[in-house]
Amino acid sequence: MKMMKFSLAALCLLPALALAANAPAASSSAPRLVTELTRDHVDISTRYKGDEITLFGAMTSPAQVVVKITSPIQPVSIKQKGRVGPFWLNVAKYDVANTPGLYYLLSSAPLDQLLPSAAVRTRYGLAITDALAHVQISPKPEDADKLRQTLLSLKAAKHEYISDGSAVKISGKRLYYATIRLPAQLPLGVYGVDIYLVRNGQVIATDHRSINVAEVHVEHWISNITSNFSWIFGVSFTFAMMMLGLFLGVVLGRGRNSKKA
Amino acid sequence: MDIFLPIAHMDVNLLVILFFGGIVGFLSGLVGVGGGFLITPLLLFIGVPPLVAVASGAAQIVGTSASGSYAHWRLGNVDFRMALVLLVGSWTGGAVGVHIAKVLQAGGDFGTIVTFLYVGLLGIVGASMLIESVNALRGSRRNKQGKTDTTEASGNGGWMTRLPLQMNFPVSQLKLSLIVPVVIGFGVGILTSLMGVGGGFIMVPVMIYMLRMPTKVVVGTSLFQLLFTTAEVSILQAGVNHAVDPFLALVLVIGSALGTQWGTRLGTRLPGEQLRLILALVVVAVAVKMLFGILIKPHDVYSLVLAQ
Repeated sequence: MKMMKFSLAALCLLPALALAANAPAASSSAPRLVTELTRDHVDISTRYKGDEITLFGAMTSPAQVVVKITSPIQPVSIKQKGRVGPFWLNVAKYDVANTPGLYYLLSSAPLDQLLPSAAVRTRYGLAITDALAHVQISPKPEDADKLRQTLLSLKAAKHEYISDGSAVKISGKRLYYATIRLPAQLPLGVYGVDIYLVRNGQVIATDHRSINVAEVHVEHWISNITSNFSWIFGVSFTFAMMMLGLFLGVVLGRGRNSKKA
Repeated sequence: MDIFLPIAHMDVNLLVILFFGGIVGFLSGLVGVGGGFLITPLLLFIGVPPLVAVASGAAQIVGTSASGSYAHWRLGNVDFRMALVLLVGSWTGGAVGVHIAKVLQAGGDFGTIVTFLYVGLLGIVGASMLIESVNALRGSRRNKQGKTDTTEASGNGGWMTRLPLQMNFPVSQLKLSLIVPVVIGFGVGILTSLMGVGGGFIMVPVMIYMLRMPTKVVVGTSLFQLLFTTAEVSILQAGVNHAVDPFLALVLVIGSALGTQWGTRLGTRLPGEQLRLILALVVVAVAVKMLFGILIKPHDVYSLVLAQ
């Protein structure tokens, strides 16, 4: 059902695509692709528990499709536990800067089959290791490569860095679609969605979209007041708790407290 | 019924938090202990970051101790002079503790320290409650006709009367050096900021056995002191460490208010000694679970956390 719906939506894109392809441009025969998202924004509210956005589109000639989704940078720390006497305690902590919180590589076939040349993959940032292209780890670990591997596997375990060779479906050799699943916990900001048309081990066309992830309403208000007006929040919230406690005591207790004393 | 906690940065089931608040309120209504020392471990078990658990725990105690303090104040059970002297100590301790927490958090060691403090505290409190309740159960079986209450009438230890800065506390009918309550308050303030507990389980025995205050004013004064200490720590944890989660604290207070009513009602019908034994076993079990958490090799020695 879902597939039908998006196939139909994508079909509507075809005339536009045909027009574009036939337009008297310098490279009128060059392959083209058009992509749309079911939504270009995600609203983070108190009830937000993750979201799904479907990406769909059409291409002028048959090819394979790779989609790269990159979130804004999200600083994290890696904690390392070790034996201290009989206990397992944190023995080291590394701060990881300059890496995206989420990095999804979704494709219609495994990436190393679509793009056998590692150089080509690296040029477009289409290997999961490219998520760490600008990583800064402090303090400097003894074995930097091992820690990068650890970081990648921790990120993969949390489904924050994903490489999925069957996530993009192609139907009728012209239409493609993929579902982007966003987790409950994610960095705010503008997410880049890059779409690559791939044939014979080469990228033959690209397209770009973006998704804006932002807090709304109460959630935005709370995170603003707790971080920017933390003292005002602290005093008023604590006072409110005191009043709430008194109120609940009166409403539920009805003299019970004085009996207890 | 899931809700996203804005400060803890995690999804929780609202009913679970309400239930936690309810358990703690139920126990405090049933047995009369504050129960703040159970909230932090429960929150840690479901993955709330340690600093957020401790800070929101302090904010929760503000709510749960407010109506009790008010009731005791109305009944004249508060020794205000004593409470103020204790507060001088506990406010200082609270401020120091919140800054210690900040430093430990930056170094990534706060969780470890909290675990150790809790294992130690719950171990000691649980074990002594266990011994006490087992003795009480045995005693009540052996001689039911009359208990031999042997309260020593020997007064304060000699060293306390020799300290400088003696002060009269007319409500408690005491003459005492200021240094003693200030130091005790300081320790309780540190505990509140590092562990998210009110410290009533320390303050009450100290007031009765060490300061020898009349039992009538002990609970009221301790509650009053505890309310304003947790209030200070809650403000500082929000202001300095941005660690008080409003939703978490709110739901806990509502849960514990409901639980307290239920616990108080049930407590009048159930035998106290058995109840204390059950609570002692719960406390010991929590301590053991936390101890295992640091004794057993973790699945993965590496873990990923959001940077502060």
